[in-house]
Amino acid sequence: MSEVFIQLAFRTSIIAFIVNIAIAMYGVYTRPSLIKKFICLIMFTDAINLFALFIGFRVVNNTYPKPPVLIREPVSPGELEEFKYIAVDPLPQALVLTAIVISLAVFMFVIGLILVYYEHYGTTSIKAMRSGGVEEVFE
Amino acid sequence: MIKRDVLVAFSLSLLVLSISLIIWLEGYIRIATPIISSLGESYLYYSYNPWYSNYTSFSLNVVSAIIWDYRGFDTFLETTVLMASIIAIYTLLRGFEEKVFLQPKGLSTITKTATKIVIPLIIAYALAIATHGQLTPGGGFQGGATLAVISSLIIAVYSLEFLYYMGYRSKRLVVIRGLCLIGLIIVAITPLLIGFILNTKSYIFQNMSKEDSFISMPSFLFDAPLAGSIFFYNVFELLIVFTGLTTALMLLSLRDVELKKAFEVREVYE
Repeated sequence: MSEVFIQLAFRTSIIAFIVNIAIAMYGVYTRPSLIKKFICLIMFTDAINLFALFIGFRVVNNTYPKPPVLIREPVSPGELEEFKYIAVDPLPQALVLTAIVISLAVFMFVIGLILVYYEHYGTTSIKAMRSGGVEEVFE
Repeated sequence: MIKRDVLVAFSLSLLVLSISLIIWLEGYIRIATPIISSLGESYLYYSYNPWYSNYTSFSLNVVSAIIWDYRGFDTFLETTVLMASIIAIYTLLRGFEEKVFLQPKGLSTITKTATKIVIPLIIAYALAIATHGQLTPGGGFQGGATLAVISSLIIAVYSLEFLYYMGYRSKRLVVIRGLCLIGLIIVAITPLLIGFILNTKSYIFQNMSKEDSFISMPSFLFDAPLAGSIFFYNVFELLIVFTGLTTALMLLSLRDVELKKAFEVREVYE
């Protein structure tokens, strides 16, 4: 019973992630404001990273899954065998950490680029930029 | 334009429906099952395993062991990417000058006092996260990001002037960053140098002893697991991320007076 509930909850949240990704892509493609595009890009990466974390999750019979951290130093190899079958997958977590750092580096550059655009054109809307800048477009 | 927006929204909703259908039909993606990847299982088994001393890294935190030991070179390159992005922001805003004696402004005294109380707590927490990276969830990057909260708080509450007053300059921070990167490289090639002196085989980014080389970094400090080079990497990464994020925050919150020359210079070139 509980396993069925967990599966249902997981699938619902995965669909929520996909909807999140779709909204973020909509923002990136159609919004004219660069700041809004940037926010949607952040939403996109966060949704993808959470999705990757979900792949590493596991369901364990009768107990709850544990984080991939040993609480104390193991005294026998049997303890490690048990830990191996209870803990969640550490690999997606490590990869997501790398992905977060690199996306942070990219976003820092992008926000600097937007700052320069704003200073040059006086607006962050790409529609106004195309028509020569300065004029305000409320969208 | 409206027609195009509707078309994009419709196609994206179709994408949502199709991907959810694929996941619903099961078997295409493995989520919330008792099985995980065998590579992940082997990391879980060997991360702290005194009975297989050739494969272990003596790190209780498996994620830390993967990041700095099993896949250390990846993480080193990731750190250099962070450095490269700072240099990219520098080239974007080239020609800016840091003016120290502008009139400092800030928020009210209540906010300033509350910030003063909070800042030592943040420092202690960030240091604990970074130096216990091999024992508890956390690590150098997380600690550095926590520490960078301080500089963003100071910029927001006390103004950028206060950071200048404390001696922070973006050029100094970049120098510290470079020194810490060199420190990372030195820790990485230490086993190589020792192997060269003792005339035995050894590897770059080597942590514990391997089958064909007995050189290993210190695995214990008194009775606490130090996890060899992971501790040193975490400390250097803390400084790198803190200085990097602080530099970015300072560059992105420069005042108009300081940026004026940068944009004038660009207009001349264009």
